[in-house]
Amino acid sequence: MTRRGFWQHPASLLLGPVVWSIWFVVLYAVLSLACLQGWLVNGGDHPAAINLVLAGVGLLVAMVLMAAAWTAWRSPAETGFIPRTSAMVSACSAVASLLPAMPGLIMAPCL
Amino acid sequence: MSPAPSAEQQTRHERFERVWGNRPGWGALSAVNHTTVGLRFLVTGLVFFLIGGLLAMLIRTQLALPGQEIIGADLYNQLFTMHGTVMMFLFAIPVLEGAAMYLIPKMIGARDLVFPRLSALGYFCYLFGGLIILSSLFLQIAPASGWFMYTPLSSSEFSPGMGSDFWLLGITFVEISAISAGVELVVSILRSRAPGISLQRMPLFAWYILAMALMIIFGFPPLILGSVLLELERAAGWVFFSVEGGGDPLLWQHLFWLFGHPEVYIIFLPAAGIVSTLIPVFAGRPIIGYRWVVVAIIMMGFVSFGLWVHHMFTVGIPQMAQAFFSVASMLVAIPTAIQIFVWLATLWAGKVRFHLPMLWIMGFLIVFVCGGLTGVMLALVPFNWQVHDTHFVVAHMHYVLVGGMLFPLVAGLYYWLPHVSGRMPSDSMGRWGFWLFFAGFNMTFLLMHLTGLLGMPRRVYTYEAGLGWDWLNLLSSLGGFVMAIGVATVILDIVLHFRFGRKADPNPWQADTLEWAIPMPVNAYNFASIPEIRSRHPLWDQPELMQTIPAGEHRLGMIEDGRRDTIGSDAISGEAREVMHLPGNAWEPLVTAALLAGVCLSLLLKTYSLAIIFTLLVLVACLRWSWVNGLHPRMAPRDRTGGLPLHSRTIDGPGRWGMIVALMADGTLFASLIFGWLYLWPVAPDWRMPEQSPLSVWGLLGSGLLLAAATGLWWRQARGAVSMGGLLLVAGVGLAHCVALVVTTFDAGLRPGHTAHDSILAVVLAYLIFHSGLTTLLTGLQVMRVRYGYTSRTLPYELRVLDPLWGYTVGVYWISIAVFLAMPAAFGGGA
Repeated sequence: MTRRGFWQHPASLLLGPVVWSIWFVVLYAVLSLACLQGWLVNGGDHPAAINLVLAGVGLLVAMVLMAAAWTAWRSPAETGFIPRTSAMVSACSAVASLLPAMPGLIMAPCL
Repeated sequence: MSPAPSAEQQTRHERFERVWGNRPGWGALSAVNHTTVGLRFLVTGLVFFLIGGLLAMLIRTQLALPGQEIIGADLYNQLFTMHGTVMMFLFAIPVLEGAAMYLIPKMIGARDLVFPRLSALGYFCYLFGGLIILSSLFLQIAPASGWFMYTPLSSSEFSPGMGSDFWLLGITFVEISAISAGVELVVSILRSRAPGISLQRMPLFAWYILAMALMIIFGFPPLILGSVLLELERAAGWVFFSVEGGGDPLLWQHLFWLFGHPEVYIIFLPAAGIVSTLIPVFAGRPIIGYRWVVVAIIMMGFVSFGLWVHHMFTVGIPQMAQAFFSVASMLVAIPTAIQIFVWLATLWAGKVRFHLPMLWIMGFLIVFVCGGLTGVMLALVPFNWQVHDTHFVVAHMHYVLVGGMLFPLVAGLYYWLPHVSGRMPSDSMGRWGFWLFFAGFNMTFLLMHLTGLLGMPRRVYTYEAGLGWDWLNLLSSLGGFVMAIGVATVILDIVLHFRFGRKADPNPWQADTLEWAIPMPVNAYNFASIPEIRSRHPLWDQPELMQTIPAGEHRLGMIEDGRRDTIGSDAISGEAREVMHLPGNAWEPLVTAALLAGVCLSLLLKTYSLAIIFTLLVLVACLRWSWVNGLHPRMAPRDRTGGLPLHSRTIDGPGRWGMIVALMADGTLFASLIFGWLYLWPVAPDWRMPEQSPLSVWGLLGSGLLLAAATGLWWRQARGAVSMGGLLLVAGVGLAHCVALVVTTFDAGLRPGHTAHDSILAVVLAYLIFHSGLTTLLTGLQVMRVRYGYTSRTLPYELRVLDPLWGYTVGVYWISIAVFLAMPAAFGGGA
């Protein structure tokens, strides 16, 4: 499927939320496993590298989704409804991906 | 009342009614028409609502004064459990499904839903399941562990009676109905819109219902799995939720809330759809921000799945993980707020007519916004800890659910009442009903916030005097009774209007949506002809439809061959693609549901041999149902010459779409099972991974290769080389795979009564055997259908329906090998 074709397809409406969902599950799973398996120094009772990693990946996911939103918004389309709506959904998903990672900047991972 | 039809229209109407109408007398039980089934859902749901309300009144009577002993602790536990269960599972969801079933085809210009028999099956499952659950109350053995049935309280050790079994089996039975409705609505909305209704012209209500139906598809399977596992633990002693043996009670909470939180939005979204439909009508202008509402619906549908842990803030999860869910819980307020602002902006920009439905919408806006605000408070972890399990949470929940669901539902009820009856309700009695309900509701639950903040825990059957809760409880109880009088007034108004209501004018609210083009009171076939739609607001922009549709001036204006039909359209553009033949009145749904009820009851009574007999009978009934389908002469006797083809002569009809959507639900159940495995493995304190796999690796690989070979052969058949011999070979190889898998399973000597590890493996293997067996059986059925000429190289419709099932079966098999065999071997012992 070409890029233009994709943004005209309703599947593009789901791109942002699906990426958000995967990111959210990964975020919760990685943190839980790190705490349960004792992967962190000091038992994770102080902010550690994992905080920065999770926040960084959150930022990366948000940037990718914003880029997707931009591409969708700019895509030439016979009817603007689906590309424009996809762009808005992707932008909202970008925000939704970034915010849950923010507590990681200040909180101890396993306390 | 609609103007008198011409003689020609009357003749057309009579012909359509002969084909689409229900049978008289007891024959009405064979009705599958969406109007009838939708109304049955609504009426049955209303009855359950009254029963749930009665239980609430008993609870409030008990709590009105301190130290009362009107109801003992045991019965009180049963009452609050059943109140929650009835209201959530037997009222809220089914009623909204019923409303959707009734309205969706009418709004999108179709004559029926695409799988009418599935709707009818869903209704009977709901009815029988509801009656089974309720019967426990009358036998005084009702479940008493709360509507979310937390383990270990609901386990056989702490709830040894049959109460929990009633809940687990009954709710699972009722959920067949929800999944049926989910599949039905998704495919109908996507594939049976009137020509011209592209996605961007779809009524907002259809967007909301599409999201709700998809949420049902993905939201209900975790609870179905949890219920099956808990019942296996209670009845057969398998281990999933008890710590001893490697289970974990928190797994139940995860599975329950993976369903339970989205469920709040499954309830809210259709109600918000009603609001988004009514506000533009009474504001007299199109909604402001249609696209923003669509964005909000999509975001809400997804984000609501990321909040489940906020019901578990007190179970000991790391603070940072709690913070993720806290943020997500606050995030979901944003799409909700988008909708609130869209509604307010539309009201602001329009010229509002404050008819009775609008009064309930205003009540919704006030109550729901308050509930939303306390929701944001509860999303904050420290506050959540403070008020956990207090009446504050009860108050919040009722503000959200009653505000977010019941107020819009009653608004919708008043709005569409003339559509059903052709008469208008009493405005003055309706207003009395609203104000009594509104005042009573706030008196009950606004004060309950204070009771909770003062520390009163929920689920206590009595309390001591002098704790500061006395007057609040008394007023809450009084408010409850005022609310009940309000409900009674509304019901009286509705009942009386059928006899005394003023006859309604055509399109009495000057609405824009297509359902009002149907003459009132409603008929069995909706549209005498199916028009081309050129606008998002058809009745505002194409007012001539009110006359041209009943005059038969559009598509399918004649009954051909005495068959029910509607137009199948492209999911995106809404262009007409085919004519869909729909089944007429049928007994299969009632018979199948009755047999399923037999399975449920015999499991409840632990008469397992009877359960096996009933299961076999269900299988026979389903195969019979499946036989009279597709290209069977009773379903599709002819091809059309010219014009649109019949759906059964295509390769991408509604059956294939239904199969794919059903497999989405199936896949979610499988994913939930994987979640259970991956959760218990690192988390459960007594989890034991054996050093040596009890399963034969060669047995599983050999069986898997047979399955892969069968699938390869199948794909060749489904894509052109259709022959009896070829399909027989596929079925034979599939059967060999099944036998190999069964032998490997029994050879493993699993002991599910001892460890959670073996229990989960046993469930996975049973799941795989079931799918392999089903796929093989249905392929065998295709061999017969080729023989009878219902399937052939030129008519591959049914093979394309079965196609995704083969792909799914082989997919879950190899995923299972990877997750349940290879992963443990690689990361921690054998499987």
